[in-house]
Amino acid sequence: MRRRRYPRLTSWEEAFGEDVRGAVLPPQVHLSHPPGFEGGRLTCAISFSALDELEGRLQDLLRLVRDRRLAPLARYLV
Amino acid sequence: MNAPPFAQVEVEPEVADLPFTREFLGRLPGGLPVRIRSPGEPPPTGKRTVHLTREAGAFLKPCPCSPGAVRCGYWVFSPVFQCPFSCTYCFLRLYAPDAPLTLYANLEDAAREFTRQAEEWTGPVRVGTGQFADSLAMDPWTRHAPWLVELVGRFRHVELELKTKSDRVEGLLETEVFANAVVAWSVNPPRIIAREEPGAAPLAARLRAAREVVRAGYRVAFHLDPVFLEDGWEETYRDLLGELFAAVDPGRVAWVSLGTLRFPPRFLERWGPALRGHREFFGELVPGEDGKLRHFWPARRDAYRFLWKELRRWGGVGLRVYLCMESRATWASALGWAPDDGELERYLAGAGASVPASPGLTSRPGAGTR
Repeated sequence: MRRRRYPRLTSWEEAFGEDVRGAVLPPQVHLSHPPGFEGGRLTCAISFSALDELEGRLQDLLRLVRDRRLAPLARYLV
Repeated sequence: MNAPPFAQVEVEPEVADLPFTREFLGRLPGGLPVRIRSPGEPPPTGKRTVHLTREAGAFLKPCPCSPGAVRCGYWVFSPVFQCPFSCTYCFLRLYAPDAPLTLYANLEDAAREFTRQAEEWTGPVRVGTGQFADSLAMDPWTRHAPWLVELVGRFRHVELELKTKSDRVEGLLETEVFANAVVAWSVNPPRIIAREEPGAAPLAARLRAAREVVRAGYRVAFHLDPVFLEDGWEETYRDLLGELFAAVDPGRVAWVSLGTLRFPPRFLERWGPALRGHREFFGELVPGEDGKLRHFWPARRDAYRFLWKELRRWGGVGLRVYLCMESRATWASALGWAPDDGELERYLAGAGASVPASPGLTSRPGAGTR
């Protein structure tokens, strides 16, 4: 029903889910989009319980960006 | 003068002797029923009835805009409430479907309120009467337009916008022109006007009127709102822009606004059955931050990009274009800049920085590349 009512939105949501899974994010790092992908922005949330942990996850993330593993997400931006 | 867009007039006794009431009644065609109401009668209903009454509250209010949207600092001045036209998408169909054409006869109070507020404003301010009414549709009988132009004329930091879908500019053509009066037309391609704007003037008549007021010395504005994103819309809106700027020199266009279809979900609960066949209302409209349904974001963004580019092609890069009820993120993404608080008012008044040449180059006027 939802797919029939919102065909493009649901296809974007599915593609976004696949792109995030394909990026294989570090643990405790979550990417999300606003409702309806409004505004062409994504949110990246990182949870950590020590500063070393944060540093490690940021480095992992940076590596993903440099290796262009997050490049498919560019289509949801601006 | 054409027949008025109303069939009867009901007058509250307390305003029966006010100057506006006497003048309005004096302009009516013979034979039109006029009735002085009894005290305590329930208010009349229906858009074919004019209700002459007193505004006990404020005539002048800030435009409510929409939560999360970039505000343009607009003020709404309302000597009239309700519109004789029946546009399918109009929010008045939801909020006041049965309200009569209400004319507030205590215009001396309105003038005092406006003057007091205008003396307090310091920066550029736009004020319009076209939010809860059509600014000119009733003008042959109300003569509000000449009164407003003269009232606002001496406040050079205030711009009066008279927004209409009519061609009733007779009153404006007979009055002294003040530089801070802008006559604005809400426009759409002819086939959309025929389908979605019953009772309103055809595009050709609106543009003929625009040409006449420009010739008289006024500036004009255009509102492409709502843009209907139906099959082939790019071509029909490109043709529309061609017609606008063939009719009016871009140098005389004060501003152009853009907006796409938007309405709260309960609009469809109320009007859905009557809108059968109007496909746009049942398309892929997604609830936004403010709860209103709008076109899915990428479609809206691409539409604004297309129209902004076309507007600048037809009207030049100096043409002032803004989005109505859209977020900063949408502005930044679609137009390449997003105004800060107060910046849009200065931009529209011609006192702000110029905007980037093409979308996506800078985050705001004057800023470097991203």
